[in-house]
Parts: sequence; C-alpha cells; structure tokens
Amino acid sequence: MLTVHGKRHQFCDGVSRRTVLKIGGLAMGGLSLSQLLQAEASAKQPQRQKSVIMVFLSGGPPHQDMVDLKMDAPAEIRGEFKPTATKVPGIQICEHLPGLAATMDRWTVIRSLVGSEGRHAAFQCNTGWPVAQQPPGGWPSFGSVVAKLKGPANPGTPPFVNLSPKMKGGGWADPGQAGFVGQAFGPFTPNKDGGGLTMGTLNREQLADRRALGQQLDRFKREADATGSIAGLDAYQQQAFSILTSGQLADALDLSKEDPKLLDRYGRGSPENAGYGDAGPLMNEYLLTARRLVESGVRVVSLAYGRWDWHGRPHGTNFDNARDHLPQLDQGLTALVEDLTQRGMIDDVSIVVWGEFGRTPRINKNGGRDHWPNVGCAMLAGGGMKTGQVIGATDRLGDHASERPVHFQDIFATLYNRLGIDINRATVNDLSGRPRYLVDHAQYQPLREVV
Amino acid sequence: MKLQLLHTLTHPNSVYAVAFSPHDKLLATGSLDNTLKLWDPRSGKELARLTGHGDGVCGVAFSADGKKLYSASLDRTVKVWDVAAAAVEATHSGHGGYIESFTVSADRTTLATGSHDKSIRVISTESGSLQATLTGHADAVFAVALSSDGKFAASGSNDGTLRLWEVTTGKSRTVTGNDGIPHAVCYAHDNKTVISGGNTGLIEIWNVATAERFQTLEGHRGPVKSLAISHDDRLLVSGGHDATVRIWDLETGKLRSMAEGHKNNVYGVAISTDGKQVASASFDRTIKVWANS
Repeated sequence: MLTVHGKRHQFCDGVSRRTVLKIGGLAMGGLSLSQLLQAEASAKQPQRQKSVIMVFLSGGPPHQDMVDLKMDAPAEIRGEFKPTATKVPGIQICEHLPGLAATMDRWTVIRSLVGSEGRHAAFQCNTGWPVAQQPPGGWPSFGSVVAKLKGPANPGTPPFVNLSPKMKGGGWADPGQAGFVGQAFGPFTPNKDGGGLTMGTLNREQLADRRALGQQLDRFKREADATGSIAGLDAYQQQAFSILTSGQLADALDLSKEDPKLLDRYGRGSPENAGYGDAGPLMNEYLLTARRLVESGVRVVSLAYGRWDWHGRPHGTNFDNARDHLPQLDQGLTALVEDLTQRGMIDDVSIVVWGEFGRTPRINKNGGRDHWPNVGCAMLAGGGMKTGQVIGATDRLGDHASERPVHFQDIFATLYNRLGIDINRATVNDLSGRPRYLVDHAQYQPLREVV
Repeated sequence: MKLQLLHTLTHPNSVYAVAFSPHDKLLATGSLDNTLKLWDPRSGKELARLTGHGDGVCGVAFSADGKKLYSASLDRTVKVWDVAAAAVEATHSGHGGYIESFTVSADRTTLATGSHDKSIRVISTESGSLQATLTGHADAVFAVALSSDGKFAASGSNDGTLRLWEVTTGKSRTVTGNDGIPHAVCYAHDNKTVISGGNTGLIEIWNVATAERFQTLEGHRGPVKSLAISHDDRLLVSGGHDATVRIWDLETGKLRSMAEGHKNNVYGVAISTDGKQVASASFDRTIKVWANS
C-alpha cells in the first residue's frame, strides 16, 4: 500500500496517495510517515502485494531426521531414517518427505539455524528476538510490525492473521504479540476459541446485525484495553468494522468454496490440538486457508502446526512421531507451493517453516531427542527467493553449525526484504519513544544466497 | 488363515490400546488424544467418546460383565468407567511417573500398571485397593502381564530385563537370554507360559516354572510392540514396530497370517472372545478391525 514508484502517485494496490495518507493517519499510530516512506523507497520495490506464510513447528523439529541426516554418525545418533535423493542433484533429505524431495528446486533448506534462546515458545519465531530483556512494551511480532508499517492491503482484510487455536501451553499458544507497536496491530485470530475458523462469535447472518456488530467491536476494545496498549485504538476499531462488514475475510476462511480435489491434495488432518492439547493441530486445511488469506490481501499469516517436542516414550519415540508428522507436513507444504505456483502467486508469497530449536544428536533412553538450541533447521520457499539449494552445514554429528551459521534474525531480515522493507533504515518507536530497528541489522542481513 | 480388513477407525492422535468386551459387542480404544472411544466392532460405528484423562491413554480392558471399563493413562492414573453412562466411577492414583503398561487378569479380579517410576502397582478391580507394589526394575516398565488369577505377574523393562513375579510376596526372578528390551508380554491362560516380544523382533515363549525359553517365533523386523493370546491359548496376535499385525499358531510355532495395513508402530492388539476378529491400534492414528478367517 505504501510503496512509492518514482513519480507515480498510484500505489501498488491501486489506491491514491491521498487515500494512503488518510489511512496512514488512522493506522500508523505514532509512526513517522516520512520515515516509513523513506524506508520503503530505499528497499527494492515490489510490483505486487507481497505476503508471508509462517509455519511454526511447535516444539522444535529434529533437523537431523528431516533435512540433515547423519548417516556417518554412530547408531545412537544416526536414527532410523534413510536419506532420499531430491530433484536437486546433491541434496538429500529424509525418506518421509517425498513431496518436498520431488520439488526441492522450489525450496531453500537452511541446515545451520543458530541463535535459539532455547525457550519452548513461539516467541522467537514470531519476533526474531529473545524473550529476555525486551524493550518497553515488548518486541512486536513480525506480523505486527508489518501491520504497522504496511497497514491493511484493503479495508476488508486484516494485515496479520494467526490461525492457531487456543492451546493449553502458553508458549506455543502465543499468536504473536503486538508488543510496542500497539494492540491495534496484533493478529486477527479467527481460531482463538478453537472449534474452527470463525469471525469471532458472529456468523454470516449476524454480520448484518448492527447490534451484534457493536458487541463484537466492544469485545475487541476490551481486549485492546486489557493490554494497556491502546495506541491506535480508533484505527483498530475502524479496521475491525471494515473487516466484519466486508465479508472478504469470511470468504477467505470458508474452505467450502474450494474444490474438494484441492483439499485432498493438501491433505486433511485433525482440528484437535496435537500432542496433549498443548500444541498446534496437525491440520493441513489451515495451509490452504493461509493461501486463501494471502490471496484476499492478508500480508502475514502464521500458524502453529503439530507437536514436535519428541522426548520419547511414553509419548511415542522421536521416530514414531516423525513417521506420523513428516508425511503430513510433506503433503501440505508440497501442495501449498504447487497451488501458489499454479495461481501465479509463488513469487509474491514467502513461506518459512521452522521451530524454536533443533534436537539433540544423541537419542535418549526413551527413544526421543531432547532440546538442542545449538543448531536447528528452517525451510524457505516462494517470495521470489532463489531456491533449489542448501545453506549452511552441521558437523558429522549434527551438533553445531560448521558452515555459514544463519541466525533467526537473518531470516527475519530476509522476510522483511521480501516485503520491500529495508531493515537498515526502518525503525519503530518503543513505548519509551526510542526508535528500534526491526532486526539487529549491524549483525544480521537478508540472506545473500536467496535475495 | 487370512486377516481381512473390516474397518479402519480413527482417533485424532495416535492409538495405544484396544480391547474387546466379553461378548465382543463393544470395542474400546485408548489414544494419545487423552480419550477413549467405544465402537461397535461389527459396524465400525463410534458409540461414545470418554474424556477425563489428562494425558494419553495407554491401556484399556473391560470387566467380566462388560459393564465397566478400566483405563490406564500417562497421567499416572487408572480410571474405572461406567460403560452405559460413559462416565467415570473411580480414579486410582499412586504412581510417581508416567504409566506406560497395563493389564487385567483373565478372571478380571486384578489389574496392574507398569510405570516410568520403575514400579508395578497391582490393584483389586473390585475394591480398588492396592494389593502390591512390585519394585526391582532399574528403569521404566514397558510391559506387564498377570496370570489368570492375578497372583503372578511378568514384566519387561527399559532396563532390558524380563521379570517373573509372585504378587503376594513381591519376589521376582529375572530370566536370562531374552531378546533385549521386552516391549510386550502376555500370560497364557494356563498360567504355565509367558510370552515376550523382544527388541530385535523375536517372540520368545518361556516356561514360568523354570524361567527357560522353549520356543522362539521369528518374523517381525524390529521390536515387537504388542501381544494378545486367544482364549484357548492356540493363537497369538502380535503387532510390531514394522507396522505389521501377525497371527501365530502356538501349537506349531508357525506364522498363520500377516497384515500390512498400518503405517506406523502397532502399539496394541486384541483378539475377540470367539477368535473371529482381531483389532490393532497404531501410532498412525487408526484402529483396524480384521476378520480372522
């Protein structure tokens, strides 16, 4: 919405500069518009709306059993799985990821993800920052920053949607805090109460009911007030009203509009939370919903997928769980990239798939692998990124990054870059008024291998 | 003899346990989704879902009259359910770690649970009173079985041993030469024989009196995760890490049939009272009901 194309006065989604300024007054809170425009102008300028889908593998996926198999390691480290060749010569991944193997030319695998805080939480995958020592107001999640900087792409869709349901555990249930950018830029959470994707408590008929609508807006206001961060509340109310009345979001959430054959390609899954009710559902329909949301104009869609905290018996060994989760993830991600490609959207939608850390090289006595913040993995696709490659490497045991360490913030820098946001210039003020860069840009930059 | 698939039933998460009711009218299943389900094994229709456990359900068994259902959970408790009301009647606790293994004696008077606290608790099904706590294993108890009268037990542990217990005294013997960690164990109805499922795929048959192995069944690739014996002690059903379900003739020691429909570990197997149906519970989130013909 705020991209400037030289002397043109028409913006990427067709709204006029005057309109943008009007929306900016409503939705940008305390942000300096000139600062924002300056940051946008210096970044590579996108021609179409760019979006990001963030798939959070709650619990910490085992890097060495997915994309970095260690066949030369001793048996107590090597694990049960065999590598399989991929479409890209020289790249091998787990035998239980055949779809990704066949489409590896569309993915970048990062085998050297470092910088994990070691905390069982979505926080670092939402914000890029550690939980400890947050600035006044708290670090905003990626989606909230994008919402703040970019605003809604159109009045009928929120800029940031999180599809995760209510979960038992606090850390994985975090949909992405708004932090110091203000609750007005927090995620729209249509699955917050569980039980499927809805427009809050309203159904389609009630959307036409002004009284019910007013009650819904009151609820949003209460939630915003409860956080103590009420900056931009008018904008929030304005946006909520637009979303609820336009029907665009409701349409995007309605999978009955899709061909059942496409649903089958994605795979189905269960809406119940995975694990013991404390982690994201293993629900491939939500990946299709994510595509529909970015198609409708949502800039950032995030979701928690499955339970990857595989310490072993009696909750199944690491390998029992991997045989359960990997094929389903494989089917869903393969279908998502294929679907976006067929719709001509793949270069505009970046996908990141990761968890909070990797898992221990040594298999424990219960057949599990424990937490391993030393190194983990991530996968990137779409967004116009260069794919069909592996970045980084670990040692023979999968213990640490031996080549090209990639930090969580390097990936956030890359994602901001894909949205046309220059992390070297864009800042947002924290609640004390101090400008904060989006990532620690002195250390971390967009991955040169992909941008 | 063939296993013909009749129904594929599902839970939203992996399935650990399965049991037929005394007259084979009901099938009960327990899952890592923290719930139990009751099914009609003839139609495959789900009849009820029982909620109340706070963690996965690793064991299920019916009472002798089929009116009660016992369930053991990773939440360290055993629950007694009224089947007709689909409601909890009682909850027994006491373990200091996850329960991973569960069994009920053939006469249904006694149940036992094996835990990650390394102990086995033996409980009267009638009164719910603790009959014994069996200690001696050096690691989690992965498998437990009771003699038909509940007076003797057998257990397999992550410590690699297979132990035979006298419940009343708590004394045990450790057999030697078993196939690594025993992941499954069952008692024959004659109380003279114990069968264990080993770590490399061997099913080993032991003389209880001498603690000596007198037969070995080979076929599974990888650990044998579950065992069930027919009421006439002639057939043995096994489920494995190799995702197969196998039926063995215990008189000849030969494999009678094998089914490969599952996609993951088979953690639980059961055979109906009349021996005509077999059910298997898998980490692949399904229960398969097979006609044994």
